[in-house]
Amino acid sequence: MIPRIGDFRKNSIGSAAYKVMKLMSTSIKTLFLGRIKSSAKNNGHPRGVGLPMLEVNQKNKIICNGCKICERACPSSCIEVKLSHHHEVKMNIDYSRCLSCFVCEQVCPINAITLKARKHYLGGKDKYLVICQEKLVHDEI
Amino acid sequence: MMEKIKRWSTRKNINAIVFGNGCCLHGDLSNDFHDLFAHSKYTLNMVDSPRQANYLFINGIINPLLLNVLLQVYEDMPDFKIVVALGNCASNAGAFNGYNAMTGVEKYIKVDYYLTGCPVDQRAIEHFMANLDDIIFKKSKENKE
Amino acid sequence: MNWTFEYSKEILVREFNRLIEGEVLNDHEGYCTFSIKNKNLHDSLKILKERYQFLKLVDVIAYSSPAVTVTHDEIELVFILERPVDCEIIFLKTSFERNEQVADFSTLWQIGDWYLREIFEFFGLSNTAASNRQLLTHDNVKGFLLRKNDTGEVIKAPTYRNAFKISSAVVPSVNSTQQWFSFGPFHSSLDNQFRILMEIKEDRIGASEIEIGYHHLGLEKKFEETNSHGILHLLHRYKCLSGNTLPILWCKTVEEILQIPITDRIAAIRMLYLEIDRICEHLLTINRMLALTANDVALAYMKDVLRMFGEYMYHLGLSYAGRNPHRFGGFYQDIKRETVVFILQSIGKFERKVRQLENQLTKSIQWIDQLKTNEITSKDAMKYGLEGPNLRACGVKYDLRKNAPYYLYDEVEFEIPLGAYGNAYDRYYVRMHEIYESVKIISQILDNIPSGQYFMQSDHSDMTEKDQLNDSELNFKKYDDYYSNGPKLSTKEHFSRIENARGATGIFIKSMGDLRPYRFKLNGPTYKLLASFQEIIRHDNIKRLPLLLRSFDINIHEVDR
Repeated sequence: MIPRIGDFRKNSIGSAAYKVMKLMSTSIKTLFLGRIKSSAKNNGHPRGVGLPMLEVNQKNKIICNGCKICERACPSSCIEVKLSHHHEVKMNIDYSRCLSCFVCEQVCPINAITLKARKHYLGGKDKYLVICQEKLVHDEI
Repeated sequence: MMEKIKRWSTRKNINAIVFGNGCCLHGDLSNDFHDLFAHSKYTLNMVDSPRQANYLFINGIINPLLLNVLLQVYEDMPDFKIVVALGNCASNAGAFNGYNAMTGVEKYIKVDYYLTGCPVDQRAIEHFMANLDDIIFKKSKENKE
Repeated sequence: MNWTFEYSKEILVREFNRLIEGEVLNDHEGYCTFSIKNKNLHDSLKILKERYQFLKLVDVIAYSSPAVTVTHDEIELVFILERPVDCEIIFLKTSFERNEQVADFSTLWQIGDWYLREIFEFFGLSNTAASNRQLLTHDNVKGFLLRKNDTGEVIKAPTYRNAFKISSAVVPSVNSTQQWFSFGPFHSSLDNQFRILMEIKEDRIGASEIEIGYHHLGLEKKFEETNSHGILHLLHRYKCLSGNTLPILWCKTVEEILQIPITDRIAAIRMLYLEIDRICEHLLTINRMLALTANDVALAYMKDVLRMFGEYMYHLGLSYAGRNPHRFGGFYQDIKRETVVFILQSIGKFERKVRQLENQLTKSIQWIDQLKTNEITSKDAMKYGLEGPNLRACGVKYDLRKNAPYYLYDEVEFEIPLGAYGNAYDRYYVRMHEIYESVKIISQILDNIPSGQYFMQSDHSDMTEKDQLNDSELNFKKYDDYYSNGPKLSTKEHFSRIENARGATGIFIKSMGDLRPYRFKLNGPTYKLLASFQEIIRHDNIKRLPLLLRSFDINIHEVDR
């Protein structure tokens, strides 16, 4: 739509303005289309990605009884369960390997492990490698 | 006085290059990333060449072969640089630790921030933006010494 | 040319036995295998290709043979061939000792060069053509890594390959005095995937070389040590631009090995996921092609379309942060009624937006001009081994969904768009129209979803639910066995395929009656594209190279596993 001399000989402002509007049509369209709402807030999953945590009963003791099914079912093998004497269970989870695939939550027969979003471990200056027992239970705000 | 102006100018602009091929983001930083930065006080510029960039985002698993390329890119960048490792794959090898995957790049490059999670959560990126001022401040102090 | 040969399997078996001595085994459902001696390899491949029209070499797989003693170390090769006319598949088996050499079959198929190089670097079998350069490994790798006996070693320090340095003495030169340039892995149009070394003569590309291996992880060796459930969840995260095809393909192979019957409902919902995957990938390729032009309106339309499509994926649970819905025998959760209603009500609007985008692009002459690159004839395309929309853009009507339909594709009406010239515009055109066809399939599926179960348990283990776990110890034991160890795979070799957005992806698995596979191989359509890439970009203008690369839709994670 390049304007030529013949266009301006018509001596009317209307046709010139019409040509100019056609030339600017692409930029006008982008003005209206540019305000697309961000999809970040709409699709923010309240419960999308999470990190595993142990559940606790009323006496503040973990429910887990050490059957090790979650350790064998984890696809990236990041759970380590240690059984000491007196039937105490100690668990270490490597958060830098966790895929958030929710398999350990589905597989546990007692529902002793769940995945929740933990803000503290989502990023930082260090790589959080292995998370030990006490930090698995308490949720820091 | 000049340092103040320098610090002010580097604080608002993010000139970023993306290195590696991973699935946290498709290729260039995805639309969610751009939208998050659009609503904050920073402006995000995707740049093609390392000589114009300040920020380096690593995503995907790094090989010994790819590490060579990464070191050359790192050397080409100007002095004030901030390196961010996106996702589990770049910080540790994540779940795909085959025989050829390197677990981490720290021995060769100083990484300033790790964004873990598979895939990276949006709250983690917001956390990163909130901490960005502190990181820049510390970096400029280090560069002075 | 012999036009009067029969297509039936019995005649093929009889005549082949007369020409070449060997055994015939008919184990698999529909696949017949020939096992021959290694001196007849080249002759039998030539006969099968030229006389019986098995034009396509689908895959070449090597593994160290399971019956191994200390003195005797053999390596078995399996060739998978396909006849494109009626999509019949044949396995061809040989075995080699360490000192023997593989006959050179790269004269018959151009892709054979890369297969021979891979066999050499992972197993140590040399070949008569002496093509020994490294493909996926690098200078710091010691030993042959995929053999069962020797475990190699990888030194993790930054390296490069000595054989690919640019000095005219080292890079194999084609008699020319021009200079070689390296189009390295860090480039935006390559997406940091591989490296091209090319020779430029006045704006045109002459000879070239490709170097891959920048994303090699050793996935196959890792999968030989994980059970099938682990492989399923790891493949769901091995996306890298391809969401659902790999878990569905793995579920399909395991279900065919264990012979779990699938209801119609499961097949329909799986088709839905596959079509959504296809639309997503095509939209992303077009988005990447658009990023190189200066068309603002089209980019804004594209952003709108992608946002709307992202909502569909979120409702179906397919976004990046979603869980893996696929299991062996169906799904973990059923599809909800609200999602079906939502998609059906708004899919018309989605299609109208895509048409708006296409109209905007065809109006601009700049877009059409930029994409008029070199043309590829259909005969050349079959020779190079192209697949998927790249092949259909050259005029060859080959699609796995129509020629060898799986699941419920023969009950759904759709067409296959074809291109005429085989240049980059045709590849864009075919991808655009495949989006419309996929929308048709989706609306037909969602109109008539068949009713039934969404999860079929395998017969040999009565799976217990979590409520019944406390009833008896046997229940708990079965639960434990199934979820920690996975299903037990019977002794079999199996190969199954699915049509991806880029072509036909396949998984080959050999299992010895154990929980873990003995050999696992993933076969992607980009492998064959890159193997003959030197011929494809020859004589092309270098100004069009970034757009050309993005129009091919190269995904390096199917090549470097």
